Amino acid sequence: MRGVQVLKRISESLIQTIILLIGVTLITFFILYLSPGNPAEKWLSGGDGHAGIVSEEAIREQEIKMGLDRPFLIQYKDWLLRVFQGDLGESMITGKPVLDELMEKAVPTIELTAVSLFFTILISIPLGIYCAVYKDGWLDNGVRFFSFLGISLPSFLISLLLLWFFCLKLGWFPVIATRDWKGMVLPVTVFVIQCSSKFTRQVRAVVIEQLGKEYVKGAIARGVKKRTILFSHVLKNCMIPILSWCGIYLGMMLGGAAVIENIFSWNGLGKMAVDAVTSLDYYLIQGFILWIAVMFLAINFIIDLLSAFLDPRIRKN
Amino acid sequence: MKKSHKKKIPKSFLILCILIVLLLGTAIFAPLLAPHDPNKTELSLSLLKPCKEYPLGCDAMGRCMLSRILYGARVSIFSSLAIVFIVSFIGTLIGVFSGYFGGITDKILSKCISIMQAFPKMILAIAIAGVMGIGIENTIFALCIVEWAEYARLSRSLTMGIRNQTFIKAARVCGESHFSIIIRQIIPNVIPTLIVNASLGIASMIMEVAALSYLGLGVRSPMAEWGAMMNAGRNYLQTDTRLVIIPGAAIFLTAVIFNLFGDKLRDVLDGRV
Amino acid sequence: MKRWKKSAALVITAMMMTGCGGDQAETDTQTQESTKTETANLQDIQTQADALRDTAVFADTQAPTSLDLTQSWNSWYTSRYGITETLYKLDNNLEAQPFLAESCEQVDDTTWKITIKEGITFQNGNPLTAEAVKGCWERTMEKNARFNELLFIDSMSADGQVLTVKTTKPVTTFISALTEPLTGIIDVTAQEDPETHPIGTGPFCAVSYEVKSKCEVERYEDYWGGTPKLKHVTFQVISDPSAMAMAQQSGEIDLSVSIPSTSLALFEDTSKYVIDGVAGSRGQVIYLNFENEFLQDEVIRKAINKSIDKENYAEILNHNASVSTTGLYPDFMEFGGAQSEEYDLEGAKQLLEDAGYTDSDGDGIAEKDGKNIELTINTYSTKAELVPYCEELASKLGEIGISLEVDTTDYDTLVEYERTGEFDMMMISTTMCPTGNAQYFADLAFRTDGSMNYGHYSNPEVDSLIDELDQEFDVERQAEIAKEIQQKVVDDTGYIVVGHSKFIIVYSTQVKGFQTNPSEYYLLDANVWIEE
Repeated sequence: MRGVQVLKRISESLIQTIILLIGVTLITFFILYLSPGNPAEKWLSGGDGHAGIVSEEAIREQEIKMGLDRPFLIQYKDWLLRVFQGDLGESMITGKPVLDELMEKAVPTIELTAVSLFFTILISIPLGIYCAVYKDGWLDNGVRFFSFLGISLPSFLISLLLLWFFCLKLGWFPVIATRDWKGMVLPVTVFVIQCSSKFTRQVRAVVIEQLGKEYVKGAIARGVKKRTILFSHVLKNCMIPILSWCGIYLGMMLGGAAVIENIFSWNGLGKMAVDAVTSLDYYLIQGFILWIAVMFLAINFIIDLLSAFLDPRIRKN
Repeated sequence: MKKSHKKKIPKSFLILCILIVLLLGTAIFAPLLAPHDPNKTELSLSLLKPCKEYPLGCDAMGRCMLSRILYGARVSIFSSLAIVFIVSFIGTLIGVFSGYFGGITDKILSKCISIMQAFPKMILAIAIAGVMGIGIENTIFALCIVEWAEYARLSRSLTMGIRNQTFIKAARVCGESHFSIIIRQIIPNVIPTLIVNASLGIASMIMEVAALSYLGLGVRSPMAEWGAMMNAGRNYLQTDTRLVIIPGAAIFLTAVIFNLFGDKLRDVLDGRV
Repeated sequence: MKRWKKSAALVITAMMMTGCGGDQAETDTQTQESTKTETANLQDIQTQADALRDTAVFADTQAPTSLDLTQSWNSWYTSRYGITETLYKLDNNLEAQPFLAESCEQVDDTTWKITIKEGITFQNGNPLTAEAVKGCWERTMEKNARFNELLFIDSMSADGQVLTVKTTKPVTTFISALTEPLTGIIDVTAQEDPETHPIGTGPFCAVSYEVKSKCEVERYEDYWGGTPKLKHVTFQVISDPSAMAMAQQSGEIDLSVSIPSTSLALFEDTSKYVIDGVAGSRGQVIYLNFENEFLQDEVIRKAINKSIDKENYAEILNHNASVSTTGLYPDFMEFGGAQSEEYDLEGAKQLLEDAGYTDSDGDGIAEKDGKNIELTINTYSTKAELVPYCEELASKLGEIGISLEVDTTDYDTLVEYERTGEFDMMMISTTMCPTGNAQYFADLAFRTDGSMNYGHYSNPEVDSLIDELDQEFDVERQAEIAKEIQQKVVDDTGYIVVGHSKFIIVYSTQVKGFQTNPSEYYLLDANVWIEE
């Protein structure tokens, strides 16, 4: 009996996921379809305007080759059918399979994400907890001040200034990011500044909220050590919101940061996505959006599982 | 500390209010404050260093930087305000509706919300702005489409939190209509949190508008806008850092002021509730 | 350690050689190759002794879709990368000079006899014969429609080194068309995939190409013009021009193409950098829409022309990355140098006033019959100078009482406007004489039904002159007619050309032997080397 229920729930969430994916990709396809540009012409002219003219005939021919001559919904349907067979199509620009392209570009983004998230967590969680416990202390005020600066700085401003100072003035890092630690330092720094500014504040807020709860007051009244309360009760209760925040950051970073990757020439998904949008590479963008949606769902699923594991109340349900 | 003066508003908050008023004033009265026409070019003044007549110098085309910053304030601040206003209105409406009625309505709406949230925001905004063409109205539209889900999600969860409380049930028993309950009971209860959220949202909108302009999708030239000014100045990053630093500082300071304002507003409202 | 490195280098060199040699390496050539490897190794030691670096990194913001020259504009890149070559080559005055061909003679109106140089080999060792050229062109003809608009080939017959071409109509520009990289030659009998490993006759053979990311080439030892000095060159694609400028500064790249003019100030230190740029034929052209009620009036067109300080546009706004022109075609060309009116803002204002355009309602915009002169100019942002040019123009026109709104879109939207004709004015950057002849732009833009005449400019006299030009085989007479056409268009203010961009190349002073050419066709050749 129970097995049937589980199966039912799984199939239900699977159907929901598929609906979500169809919605997301349909919207994307539609937006691209509306764009003024013609991918066939873009492809032929190499993107550079007026190196010369491309003949109307050649454009039509290329359109047929790319399958752009058919109505919108047919194009979408064909694409969708192929996706269900595990074929994401080929990039219109490079002619390589979209899946290969995504795999290739995902690696640098995942590397960047892993390192950035690691440092973000390493900085934000201890700092947030500390600031919550010693609220209004000097460190708290200092952290709040800096996190304010952090969330008020646009990423392109930080990136440009870092690039200018460290790469050109000091010459410490390469301008065109290389795929090693040296090339990673600056983009990671920007990520960490941006995310930890927010995350520290969030952690701090959650812990403060828990510290104000009745059970903490009761425990203090009962004479339980502050340290014990913090580590064995408060933090346990904070775990779930903190975890879901981590999930959000993870999802955000895995999408690749368009601006940061572009400025540092980091050859990841964010840069690829912007290029794909500007060159109207329909299938590549679709593949990218699918990747994002799948990541988003996977992360949510894992966070749900973890939360259930951590929270006895949810576990029982 | 808070209990003694229930109604007293902290001084820092007042100062921030004054700063906000000043910022808005600058934006509104930019034509009166600007010493020059922001779009008038004068090639002989190209890259002029700051001087008496041009307090912040001139850009590469010989346009007065100060005037452009002042006019830029209009675009940045008003477009962000417009976005936040539109988005919080629509988002709240959808969120409250979805949260209050639940059931199939909620299922559909919350699916829509999660579809929107599954998108990478910046990429989607770039795509929409790219499709619609360059122009501030299109930028506002693109960001509205991308941002509403966040606000809807928040108001939905707030509404769900109070939906089953006794005072709502009581109102229902008394025969109040759904519409009236939403207007008189739900909205007043969720609005403080939403206002705080919106005021914090202004700063991030300022930055997102700037980011889109920086990528060349924000405003039509020669309209002055901070992100676009940074983009134009980027090529001079090494020869004349001023061209990047000045608009960058303008974005930064405005964002700081709005962020601080939102933060303090939360404290003030929390103190009252 | 050092020994290990050297032997590794040896192995790599050997591998590269076989890579270049293709699958046809037979036993006797193999022995030949092993001796080659030895000499290469000797050279290695030599280079080390001279402290020469034999690798270089070049960068560009643009890249081909693949290395197959028949696709889109890829041939421009394979030519720049030193992989493919053409029968004729443009010199610094954009005049065609024999290159792979010994000569090209006209037999009659539609027949040309091309003699190919002896002793040229493809990068796989195959000799370059008339048959090979024929085979290659047949493939290109089939794959790229543009090719047919260049040579109008009807039939070809090959005999030894002599290729006889029959054209479908008299083609007066036949020889100059032989310089267009699309007519470049690759060995179509080779087994390799031309998209990744085209076999050309150039000094460098393709090793690998990652689309829109980077291309690696390796020298072809038996290059007919002498062994190339560089051994390995990487062409890095950096789409962000500012990033490219910075990478050039930090020394990560040796040479960069299309650095934005605004960044040129960074490379003023002549002990470290060379800014090399020759004006080409890429013009900043203002299209005027003759359907527009205001632009129909010659006075307004003239007033607009008079409001453009062309010299300062080039010097200040474009940081000398272009040169101004008094006419339409580049002044340095034989048929260039028409005279248009000079910059005179007061005069422009006067012109409008005299014609009855005055500002009577005090809104700062002049009007006639109660209608304000309000115009829009469309442009796009990928060519950095265009937007500032338009902004400057709008500001100046504002001073004389014409309201001009600048509408910057992406390039595709602009193409849409071109097609529909829904524009008042348009500023675009376009190559006016890609193969060095005047017909190209005259046919496309000045002729009443020209395919690039988006503004519907029309002058029957110009049309008949263009007809005459298309029939004329005599080069000097061609130039005369072209000059006349140009002067007529200038007098009508049918088009306004602000100036012509230089093909700017920035490189470190370590790069030696580099030659710039205005055509945008060439970049890497056998003579470039690096001095550490």
